[in-house]
Amino acid sequence: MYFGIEDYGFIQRLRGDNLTYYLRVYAILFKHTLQQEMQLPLKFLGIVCGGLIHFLVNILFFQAIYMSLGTQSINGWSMEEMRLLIATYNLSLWLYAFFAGNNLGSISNKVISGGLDIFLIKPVNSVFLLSFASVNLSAFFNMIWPVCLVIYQIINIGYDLSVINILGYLILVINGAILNYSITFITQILAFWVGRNKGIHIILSSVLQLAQYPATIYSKLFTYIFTYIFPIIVIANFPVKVLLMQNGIVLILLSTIITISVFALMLLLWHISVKRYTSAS
Amino acid sequence: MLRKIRKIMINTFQVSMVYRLNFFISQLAWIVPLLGIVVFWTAVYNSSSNGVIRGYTYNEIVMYYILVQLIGRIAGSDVDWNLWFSIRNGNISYYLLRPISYPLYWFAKSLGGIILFFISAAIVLFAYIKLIAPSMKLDVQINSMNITMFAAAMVFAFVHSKAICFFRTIRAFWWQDSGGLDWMEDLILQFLTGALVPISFLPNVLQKLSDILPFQYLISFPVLAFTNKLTVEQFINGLIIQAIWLFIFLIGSYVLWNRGLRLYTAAKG
Repeated sequence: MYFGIEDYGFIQRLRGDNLTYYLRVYAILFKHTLQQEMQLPLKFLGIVCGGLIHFLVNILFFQAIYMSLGTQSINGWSMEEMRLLIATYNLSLWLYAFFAGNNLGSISNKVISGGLDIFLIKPVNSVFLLSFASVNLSAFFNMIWPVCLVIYQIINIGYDLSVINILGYLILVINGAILNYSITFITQILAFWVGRNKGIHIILSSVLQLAQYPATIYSKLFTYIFTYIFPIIVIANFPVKVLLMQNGIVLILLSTIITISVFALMLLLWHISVKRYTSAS
Repeated sequence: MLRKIRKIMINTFQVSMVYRLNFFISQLAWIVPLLGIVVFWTAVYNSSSNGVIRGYTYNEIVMYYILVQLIGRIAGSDVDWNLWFSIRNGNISYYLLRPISYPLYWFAKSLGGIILFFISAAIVLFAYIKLIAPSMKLDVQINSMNITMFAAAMVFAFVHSKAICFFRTIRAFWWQDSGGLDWMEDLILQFLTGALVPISFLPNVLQKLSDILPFQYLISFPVLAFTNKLTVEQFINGLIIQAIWLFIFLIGSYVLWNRGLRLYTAAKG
């Protein structure tokens, strides 16, 4: 079955692609999510506690290594800097999880089962609806732990931060969340081409997890690949660098260009892939 | 009975082969996180002054994580969400009417799900020991003793992990949602099984805690058996402790399953 995707742009204009409209739709979706989450308050609390344990396990992992090693740094990264890196990685991950984490995992199943139909015929941009249909409220509270650690580490290291450092860091954390989102979305899009894509999803998710390691552990070739081709270094390493270095304007620009490029690639792939959709129901 | 189990295993294998590309990629997906871990530990050992950290050389730590990745797939004790939702949605009714006990059916399905991974894991392990390790000048000591101990530890670890998994999953009879508890358990288990770092890297309190709990026998114990870090006496003691824990989980699962079935209303089923 074919849904007239060639008229996509025209339909979108009819639906009213404007910011106010989408903000209103998002507010309704947010309200529904809130009602759903509050039906199971224990689940909500459990995930917030789980988030704290996840964070502590991450910190303990590196702490155990540094303590066992007995030296001050691993490839030029001190324990304090490593904690900043872990906190930043978690922050961008939870930021992504808050907005879209609940939704992306099921896109491939919708493609296979034909459940995508309902998203394509709604008077809202399908990428928007697939991405933001439900908000992960517990992720918002799980951002508290990394934020606290970042503030503690900054005070502890004793850096004199400028406005550019702080603003640049925030922009790059948002970029990291968008990159997490875009890369995950791309892995889901692959379902249009290969059907069930769990294996590919596991591989790409594993590569995304490498973002929590310092960039200096990779060889020059992999540093290049992980910056420009599969930009995981941009997710957490770039924000930490911008926070700690004197002049991070170049990194801010580079991160923003890479993020926009990957996001645009995701949209392009979606528009190409959705033409292959034949529906199964 | 064995014929039934064999049939279920074959059926599970055939179902997983419907999407072949996905299936084969899934079999090799564990190599990617392993590469990341190895690169990270290479940097850690480059920063080390004497090349030995908590009794592990670089060679041993690489071997440790290869085995952790392999064993983690075979002896994973995560909640089985398919079973969870089957209980919640009433879908197990269909299976309860079959001439086989459902827990046994579920176990046979689990076995069918990992059997090919077991073969691919053995190939990768063999390739590492015979081809990759020598080219990296890494010496892996293999003898009949550690292979036998590893095989025995793995059989116990697989059955034990499935007992824990089943025990954790059948809470679904009582709970609509696990409330994130499963996630917390998984994270804690990562530490206590030795999947994240070797147990000897943990603070003393966690090491002592891990000694009295059953979880290190799922991953850390088979790895130590393979890497010649256990004496025969330690190995036998470990198997005995594991057998006791296995018995406790099997009895616990049996009681919970029967009580759960009394509550089961086949809602939506």
